[in-house]
Amino acid sequence: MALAVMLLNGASFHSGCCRRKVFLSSLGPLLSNSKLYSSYRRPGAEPEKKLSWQNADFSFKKSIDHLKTQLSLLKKETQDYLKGPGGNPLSQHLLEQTRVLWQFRSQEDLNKWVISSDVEIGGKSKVYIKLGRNNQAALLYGTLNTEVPRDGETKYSGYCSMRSKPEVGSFNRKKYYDWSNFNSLYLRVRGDGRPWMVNIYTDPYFSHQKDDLYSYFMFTRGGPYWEEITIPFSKFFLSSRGRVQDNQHPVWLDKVRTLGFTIGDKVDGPFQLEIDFIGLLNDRAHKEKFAYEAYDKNTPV
Amino acid sequence: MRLGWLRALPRRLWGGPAAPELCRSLCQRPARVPSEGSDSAEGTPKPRRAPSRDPAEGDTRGGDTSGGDASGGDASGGDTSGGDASGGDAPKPPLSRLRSRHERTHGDPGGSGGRADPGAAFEAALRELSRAPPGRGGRLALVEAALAALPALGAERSLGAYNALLRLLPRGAWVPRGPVQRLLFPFPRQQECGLRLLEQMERYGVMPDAETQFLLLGVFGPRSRPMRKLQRMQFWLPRLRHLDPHPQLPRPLPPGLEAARLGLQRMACDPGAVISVIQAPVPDSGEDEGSIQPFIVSCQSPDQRELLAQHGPARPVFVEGPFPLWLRGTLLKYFVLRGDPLPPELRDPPPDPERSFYFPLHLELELERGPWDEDGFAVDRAEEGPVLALCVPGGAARRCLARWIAALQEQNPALAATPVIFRLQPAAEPPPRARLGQGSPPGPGPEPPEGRGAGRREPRERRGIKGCADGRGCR
Repeated sequence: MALAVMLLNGASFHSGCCRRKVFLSSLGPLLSNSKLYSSYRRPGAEPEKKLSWQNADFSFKKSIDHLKTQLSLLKKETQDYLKGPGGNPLSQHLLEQTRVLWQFRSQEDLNKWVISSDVEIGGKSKVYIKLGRNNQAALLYGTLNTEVPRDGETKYSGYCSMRSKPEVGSFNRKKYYDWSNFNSLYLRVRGDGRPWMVNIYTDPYFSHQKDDLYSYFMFTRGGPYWEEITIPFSKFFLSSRGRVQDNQHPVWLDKVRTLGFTIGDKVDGPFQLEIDFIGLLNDRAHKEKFAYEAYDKNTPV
Repeated sequence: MRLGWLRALPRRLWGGPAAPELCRSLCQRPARVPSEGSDSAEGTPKPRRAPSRDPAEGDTRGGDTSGGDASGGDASGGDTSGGDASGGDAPKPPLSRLRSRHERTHGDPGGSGGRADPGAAFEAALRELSRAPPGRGGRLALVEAALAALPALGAERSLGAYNALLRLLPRGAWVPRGPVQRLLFPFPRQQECGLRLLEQMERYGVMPDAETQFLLLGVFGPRSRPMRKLQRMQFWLPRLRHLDPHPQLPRPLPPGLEAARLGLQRMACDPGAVISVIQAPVPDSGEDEGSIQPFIVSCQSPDQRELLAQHGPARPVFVEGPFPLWLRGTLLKYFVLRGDPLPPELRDPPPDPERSFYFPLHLELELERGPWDEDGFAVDRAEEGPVLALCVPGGAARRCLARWIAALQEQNPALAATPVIFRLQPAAEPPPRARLGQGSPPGPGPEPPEGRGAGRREPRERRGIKGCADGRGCR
């Protein structure tokens, strides 16, 4: 009996937790200005004076609009679910060997991405994104500046990045990309000879893994020709806060949240990268599961 | 409080005076503590700790490891005898061996021939320093200052410099004695200094060798944080070192004409591309290369020559640029001679007027391919006109480009009849105010589609890197 009560308590506590989480995420548009999700505060910056709910906008009209949008999203999701996995018929899901994830042909495609640079930590790099000539590709350009902010704590600076916005469903539910049918990432890019880093962020269960990234490098050739770069997912290694981790494991392809590109090659100057499209590829000649050793590496000396 | 049970614990748990001795014996050095005579033979004298402790080298061991602490203090204070002055006279076999290895392993492919290696000079300075040490303490501060100065001295990629810095640190004094002290992160400033050194090596891509491992083992002991960092570097650096699929550039990169040649070789995907120097630089070497007459290097493959020959005189060709090309740390500007994208009626061969739709002469049935074999991407790729030639000028763009086009006209007679439109962008202007976190750039706006005069140019389109959004008309 006591055990059953405890179990019930646990269950109710658990569900309460979940419900609070759902409630928080549904508050998302209200708290869009708050810094709930960014934990980084610049050294020397003042802490936030206003409470988070003071930034919320409780207007009735806005909430009705939000509800309309979310309900239409829910309707679309339901229809997609009835059609098949991922909104596609089952035959396509089973047979597809390639998939185009992002292409850059209009401003809406650019709005799916977020650019950032070391201005967040006080650096002086600049990054911009725009559509290329004839609205055909995204042009990510800017200037890299490795000048370290003079706050006494920061040691390195100089990065620019571009990251896709995480996909959300109706009522701001998290949605994941499921890329487990494919084994390679396919990019059609044109760079200027500088190396880039391709980062995959998978949604972790524990919050102390929230800085984990799976990374690999993309070396652009430079020049007027487009190049098609294939990166197998088995090559991605795990890093956390910029440090490569000892215990490696393959990237969780069914929990992918965002994809990003970072430049930080310690060279001051302008950079540019044109991206035509980003896709997934099932390369059947690639049999490697994971490129790095997975055994325990901290053996006693 | 009597802690009699402490004495009952195994002695190795608390550590004893044996740990530094062990490390010193690993380093094949005579012990310092008991006999002063052997100390004088020591090659690199150990820094002696001043009676008033240097804050940079401050000993932060806790009192709970008092047994080891006392003996450690004795051990480090024991070498106050005058071994330092006479220590320089003895020859240093590990140093000479190390130097030779450094020159062997760190030989640059490009430029170690004539110039003096800054790393070797730095190493020699450190050797002098270890011969006549400035004082008893401050080695940690010295190493940190040297680490900060290494890039300015040009020795940041020299493994020997880092090894020489590690050789300045004392052996054995910072080795934790026993597992309990090791748990408590002993000598934090010292270990962080070692970590900083290794991190700087990692930052500049210097691969540690067995000598580095040997020195770190002597200074910090096994299973210390610098040792762990070294193990990680030994694991990851070889894996991530040669990922670049493009041909490796020489280090340091040659300036001027040679860099332009390398850049064109890198850009031209065709191995049959011919790189020709259209105009040689007039001071053809040295610092002021091309100051009187700049170089012009052009690159054209046979396929591109053929394309240019087929390109009719009715449609113009464009000279576009400058576009950036980075060769590791060097920025080159290149220009492209490009045609218009072909209209679809010219791109595909015309259909046979005799063919029948109902009884085709050949069937394209791929019976061995299933519906799961479709490997193409369902996307319209970005289309641009064919690239007809590439050029890297060394000086002012307009004059060089005119000269380049004239030289191309000699090689390609069809170009003489073709109108050439120069679509050059102004020099790099700083784009307007940075606006981060949003997908849209500051104020590009849609371009006005057509009908601009050749001389008229709105300031709005004089922005940044790619000027013209539409295909033509911008002159």
